[in-house]
Order: sequence, then structure tokens, then C-alpha cells
Amino acid sequence: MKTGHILLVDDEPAIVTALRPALRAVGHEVTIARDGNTAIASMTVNDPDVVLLDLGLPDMDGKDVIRRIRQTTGTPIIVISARHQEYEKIAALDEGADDYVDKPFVLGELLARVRSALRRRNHLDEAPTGFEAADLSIDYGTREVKLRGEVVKLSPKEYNLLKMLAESAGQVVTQKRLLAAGWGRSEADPQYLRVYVGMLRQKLEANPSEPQLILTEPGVGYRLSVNHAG
Amino acid sequence: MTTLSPANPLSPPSQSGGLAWLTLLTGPYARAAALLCLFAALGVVLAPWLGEGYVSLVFVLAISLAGTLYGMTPALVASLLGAFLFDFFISEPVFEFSLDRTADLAPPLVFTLCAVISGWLSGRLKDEAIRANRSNRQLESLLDLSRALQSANSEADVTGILGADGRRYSLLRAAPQDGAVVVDALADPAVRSVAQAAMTDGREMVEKDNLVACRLDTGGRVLGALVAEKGAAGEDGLLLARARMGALVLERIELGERLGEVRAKARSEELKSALLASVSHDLRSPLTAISTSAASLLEYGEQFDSETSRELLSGIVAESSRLNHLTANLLQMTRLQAGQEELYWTDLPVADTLRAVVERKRRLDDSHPIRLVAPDEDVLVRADTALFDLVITNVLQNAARYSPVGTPITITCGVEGELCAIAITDEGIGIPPEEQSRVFDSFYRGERGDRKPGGSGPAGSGLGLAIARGFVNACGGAIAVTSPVKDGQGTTITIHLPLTRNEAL
Repeated sequence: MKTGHILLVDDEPAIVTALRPALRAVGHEVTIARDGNTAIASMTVNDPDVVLLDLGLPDMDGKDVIRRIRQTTGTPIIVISARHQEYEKIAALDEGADDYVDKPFVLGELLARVRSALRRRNHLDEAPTGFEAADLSIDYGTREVKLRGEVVKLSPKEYNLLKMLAESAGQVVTQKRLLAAGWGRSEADPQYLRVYVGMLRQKLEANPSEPQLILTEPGVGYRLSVNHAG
Repeated sequence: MTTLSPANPLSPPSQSGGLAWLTLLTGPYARAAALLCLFAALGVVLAPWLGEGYVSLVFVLAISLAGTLYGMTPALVASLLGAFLFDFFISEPVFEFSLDRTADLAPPLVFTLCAVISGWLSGRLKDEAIRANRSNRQLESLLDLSRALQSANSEADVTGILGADGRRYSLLRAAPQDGAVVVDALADPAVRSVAQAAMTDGREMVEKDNLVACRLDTGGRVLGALVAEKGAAGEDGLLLARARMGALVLERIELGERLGEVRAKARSEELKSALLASVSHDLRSPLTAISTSAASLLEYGEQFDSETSRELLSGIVAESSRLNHLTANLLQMTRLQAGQEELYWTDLPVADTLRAVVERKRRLDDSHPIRLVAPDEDVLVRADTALFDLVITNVLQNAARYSPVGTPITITCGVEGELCAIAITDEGIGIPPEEQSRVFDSFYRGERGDRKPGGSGPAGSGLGLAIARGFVNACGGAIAVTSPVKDGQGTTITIHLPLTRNEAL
């Protein structure tokens, strides 16, 4: 299940040339789109499992591409961004992108993000009953959280936040979405979020000052790592 | 302008020796005396008919006239002379000074008193008139000066306009370098010390030997000092007024300069942030391609066929060269932003340099035939060679990037008046009018994705034309885009650069 059909949307021939062989080598099928319109058309024609999308396209804004794709499908979209601007990443995520990587990215990390997205894609149809990764397990039915087999007591807010992160495990979750999950409104003070993430780390991390599980994406949000060795 | 006539008793002539005597003889005193003698003679003639009392009135009339015409001091002198003449010629006994009888004493005494008072009053009136006239003329001169100073744009202008009064001025500035002599028309070694005294001493005006220095300040801020040769008495007040006016103009000039600096700084900040934005974008793409290609080869190299491996390797080479061109662009952009002093200005032979750039372009990329039309006799422009080279390369690259393979690119170079005109024309799809104003912005790339049918070259950095504009502006030239050129196709980028003013060419 770890392989799928990838739609790579980038107008940079160099990036396409560099990325395609590696994606194929790990078993993915790769379709290339050089601009937004081709990408949108390709969504219906090829029905890819994951979209890798460069925001800087010649014919239209990458965010518009995300919006258009989201009108018809929930296919995971990973944004590849060369402009390290938080507001642009947040805007892309708000439009419905699932994750982003910064250029220049490390190949291994990009492939891991693709794996995460594929995993999520495969679970799209069935409602997940829980989360299981490395030392952490969450039972969505009983709301029971276990760390290395030991039950961890979480407050309802902490649990909601953790569940939100776990549902998009391996992918970034914006502050806005986390605030909506924990406090019911996305415009709540991000300071609350920092406090609760801090408390979650106290309970879940081996060393809360060097988090391995709940990672900060500066200015954007948080990510639940599925690769941590912890 | 002259404020005082030579006959003005308020400013005694400063000449010495024989000339002074001459002036005295023809001056107001001599004239007043002559007037009095004339009237005295009349009085003597009329004395037998009029009697002593009326004749004395003739004398008083003469003294009043002298006061009206020549001012107070000559009138007073005339009145004393009159008293003497009256006693000698008119009052009994005639032709001798007779003040031995008490009765004799009264008429000359009364007469003298009348004469003095009349001389004093009429003279004072005249003096007031002279003074009013003079201040009027001074006011007018100050008004003229202030009008003239409106047009001043530099310290030299200021002293030049002040110097229209015939005096020579030296100007020292307090800032940026303390006591720097900016204009030195006096060329007197003492200028600096007297100016320094005026700037630091509490007094607004300092005199020393034959020099006088006025502090130039506006609202307590000392701008510098104006030094002139000491003039006639009474003129120094005027000098001070002129100096104050000059100070205001200097301040205006200074503020204007500072405003220009602030604007230039803001522009450069803008450019800097645009540069940063493009660095982040344009360095990352080739870096990503290189790192991904290399990582792919390392990780999955064994699974690749030889063609894939070759493709990845040549991608690494191509992207490295793109990075190289990009860093050259960035370096030149930084130099442009650092300002004029970072650029190496030389007299650059345009046609020759164009030929070299075109040759190199032909070697690297033969996708478009390039035609160069340049005059046999080269033209010189004042420019930075590395930047000029890069700008032409960038424009050529754009032309190639946005036109179908095989279509020609034409470069023409010629002289238009005081300018060298370079035009680079392609037969590509052109730039829509709404985009034309933005093509020179940093980081801007054409909206049309279909510019290059079948093309697969790397996208541009969006820096090329921004650098071109920065360079052309630094040279004091202009850059423009024309599109379409003909039949709805093609783009011309025209660069105008000022020719080097070199008749020897």
C-alpha cells in the first residue's frame, strides 16, 4: 500500500527531471503536469493518489489550483514551496492542502511525506478507529491514549488536540485547525495552543524540551511525527 | 549696489592724504561754508537797508539751507562760522570783533543760538531723510537678494549671488566636516580662524583685522560662517542681514539634499527586499534539482538505467551553471544597490562589447540566430563593463527564452543625439500591454506559459530586466519595452545610455 500514483505539478523541468526517477524507483507511478490547468485536467483523467504541487505556476496561482482540486476530491496535496513565507504556506493549507515541503527539500523527507499522504489517502474511505505509531496508540472509541503500553491521562482539550494531530499524522496541522478542534473557534489566542501543546509534550515526550513526537512548524502549526524513534 | 553717496556726512570718507583734503574742499562742509559766505555777502550788501536784525535772518536762512542740504554737522559748523562773520561784518562796530560791551554781546549771542538751533533742526531732518533713503535701498537690495537666492542650489551659488554686491565672500560649513572651507573667494589665511570664532563665539558677527565673519545659523543650529572683507561703517549690519538670508538658503539646500538621500535609501531598501525574495526563490529551485538528483543517484542509482543516470547527472551540470549565472546576477544586483562607488566606471566601447557578448551567446546557445548591426566607428558610454555585459546577456536570454527556436534575434546599436541607443528585437510571442509595465520589476516573469512553444529550457530568474533597469538608471539612461513589433509578434527592448563626452574619440 506504500506506493501509488503521484501527480507532480511543476513548471521547472529540472525539478521534474530530478524527482521523477526517485519516485519511480520507490514504486510510484508518476504523471507530470507543467501548469495548473493541466494539473486540474489530470485529476479527472488520471485520478492520482497524491498531488505534489509547486505553488509558482506559469498560468495560475497554486492556491487556485488547490481550491479547484478540492471542489471535486479530497486527494492529498503536498505543496512544494520555494518561498519560505509562513503566510503563503498557511494560505495553501487553508485552501485545503495537506502538507508542505520547503525547497530545497531532502529527498528522503519528501518521500516520507508522500508515504504519510498515501497512508491517509488509503484511510480516507474508512473512518479510522484509532491511531498506532511507534510508542503511541490512540483508541478513538474509548478515547484511551497509551504511551509504550501505559495509559496516559489527558484532559479533553489535550485529547482533542492530539486526535487532530494524529488524524493528520506526519502532516502539518495549522494553528487555526488546532484551535478550532480544541476551543471551537479558529480565531482563539494561539497562546492557549502553545500552553496545551506544552502540556501534551510533558506527558508524551521523553524530553519535553527536545520534542520528538509533536514537532513545531514555526509560524504555521504542529506536526505529529510518525518516524520518531522515541 | 551703493548705499551711500560720497557726500554722505554719516560715513566720512576713509581716504587719507591729499585726496581727503580734496574731498573736504568739495565736500558738504566746504559747500555749507560757501553757501554761508554767499549769504553773508548778500547780508553785507543789504545791511544798510535792512538793519542788523533783518540781516541776521538772512544768516539764519543760510544756515537752515545748509542743514537741509548737507545735514546736521555741516550746519552746526556753518552756524559757528556765521556767528563769527555776523559779528565781524554786520554787528556794530563793523570790521572788528567787539564783545567788550554787554549790550554788544546780546545780538551775536541770540543770533548764534538761533543759528545753532536752526542748523541742528534742519540738519537733523536731512540726516533722517538720508537714513530713511538708505534703509529703503538696503531693504530693496535684500529683497533682490532673497529673490536671487531662490535659485541657489549649492554653496558656490550662494556666495556667487551674495558676491553680486562687489564684495568677495568665503563660506565655511560646520557640517559634515567642521570648519571645511567650501568656497574661498578671499583666499586669506585668516579666514578660517575668524570663521571659527564666529561659529563658536556667542556673537553673531566677529571682526578681526580686515575681515568680518557672520555666523550662519537657523534657529540655533550653526550651519557655518560667511566671511567678507570689512566694509564701510554701517554696511556690516547689512552684511549680517545678507548672511542670515544666506543661512536660510543653505538650510534649504541641506534639507533638499537630505530628502534626496532618504528617498534614495528607501529605494535601495525596496530593491534589497526584492533581491532577498528572489534569492530565496531562485537559488532554491536549482539547489533542489541538484540535491534531489544527487540523492536519487546515491539512494536508487543501481535501479536506474544508464539513460536515467545520465539525465540526472547532466541535470546537475545544467543546474550548477544556472546557479552560477544566478549568483553572477545577484552579485551585480548587490553592486548596483551598494551605489555608485561600488561600480567600476569606464568608457566602454559599445559595439565592440556587444560583439563579444553575442559571440559568447552564439557559442553557448545556437537555438536562435543572432544578428548584430553596429556602426564601424565605435561609440563610448560611461558604464560598468561587467554590468553592461550581464544586462545584454540577460536581455538576449529573455529574447531566446520567449521566442520559438530558430527565429532570429536582432541587436542594433547607434547614436541618437547625446545618447547611444541599443535595441534588441526578437520574433517571439511578445508581451501583452498590461504586463509591459511590470517586466522590469524584480522577480517578475511572464504570465504566458506558452511563450516558448516546445521549449524546455529552465525558467528565468525574474532578475534579468530588473538588473537591466537598475544598471540603466545608474548610468542615467533609459530602458523601454515595445511589443508587439510587427504582425502582432516580437518584443524590442531599447536601452538608451548617455554617450561619453569625449571629443577626442
